[in-house]
Amino acid sequence: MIVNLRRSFNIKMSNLTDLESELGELLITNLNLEDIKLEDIDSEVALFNEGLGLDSIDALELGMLLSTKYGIKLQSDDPDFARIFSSLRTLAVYVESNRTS
Amino acid sequence: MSEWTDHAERSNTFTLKLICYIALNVSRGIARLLLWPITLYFFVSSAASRFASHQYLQRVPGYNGSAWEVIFHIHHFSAVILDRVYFLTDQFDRFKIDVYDEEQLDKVISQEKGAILLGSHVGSFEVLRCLALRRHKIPLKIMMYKNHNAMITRILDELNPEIAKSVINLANPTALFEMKETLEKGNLIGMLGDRVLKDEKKISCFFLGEEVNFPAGPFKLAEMLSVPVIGFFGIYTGGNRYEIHHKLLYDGQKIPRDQREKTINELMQKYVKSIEDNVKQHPYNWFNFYDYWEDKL
Repeated sequence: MIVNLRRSFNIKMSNLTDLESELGELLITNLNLEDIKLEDIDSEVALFNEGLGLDSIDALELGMLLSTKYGIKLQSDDPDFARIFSSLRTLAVYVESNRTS
Repeated sequence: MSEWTDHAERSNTFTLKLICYIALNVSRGIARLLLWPITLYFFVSSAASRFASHQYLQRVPGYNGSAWEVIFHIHHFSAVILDRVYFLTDQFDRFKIDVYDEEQLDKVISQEKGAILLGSHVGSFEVLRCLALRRHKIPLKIMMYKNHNAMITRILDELNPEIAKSVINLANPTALFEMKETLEKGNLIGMLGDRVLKDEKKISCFFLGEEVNFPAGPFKLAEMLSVPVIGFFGIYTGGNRYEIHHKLLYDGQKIPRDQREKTINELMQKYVKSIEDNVKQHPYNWFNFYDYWEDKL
């Protein structure tokens, strides 16, 4: 809901919310995506496989980044595991509601 | 697993169960006698395995890939599979097992920050896995793609359900997170470093005369998680004899980002060199029965 409101009033060219942009930057700088520009990333696009092409090692690295940057400790038994990593948007929603720093 | 076991699967569930029964209830000697007709059967019926063995042996100095050598090669593989039955049922006393450089493993375990044991399809993984569990009393989880439908997996799992439970299935999206959690408890992770998995990043290494792809994952993960890597080999040397070799390959120190890729490549090449040294000494311990050098970058 909040995400949608922010989107409708977004004056930037990008379709990303602030947190989505922040996470996008995090991915690009840390996961060897230097050839991808932030404005090319759609918040709905899949992070793994056919989308941005990240693999399971990237997922682990992303998990570790979330822990250092936002204090989020994602565990392998989290029932929402697959959903969290499905796109930039789902990742942002998860970070927003679980961040401790 | 390999073409060989796929083939065994299709035709020989009964034979597998029979051998297993004879191994546990009659004697290892009789079960081993039965390996010869089984070996000959596979030599005759599996052209792909036969050809892969021939091609591989031609690369090993002092070998030419003759029919006899291929038969001995297949026989070694079947003998090692048979012995899995004994290792899984904790019957180590039947064997003469020489362990080398174990202090490298002891030292890493005493640091209590976890470690990756890097194995391969060389010799017996089972002897390492079972012995590590028994001697060190420290949990060891194995990362692998688990085909629950494979008859050989089912039969062997039934022999030791506890060991079967200690597998982290790589088909599961959470596998690497489970690995991280295991290492954080100071426990051990076993993985195989000689086959590139689906969608995995590759490193081209020089092996037995030609470049071939190896997985980037093992050392990449070790560096990310700051855990040491120990290469280990469970070599079958005939009769009831096995040799276990340990080699500390990486101490878990962080690598500066600009040198990371290069260093990880060098570490993998170091591991591949130790595979090469082992198979040159014990050529019939190489258990990748497919066209190994076909997959290049």
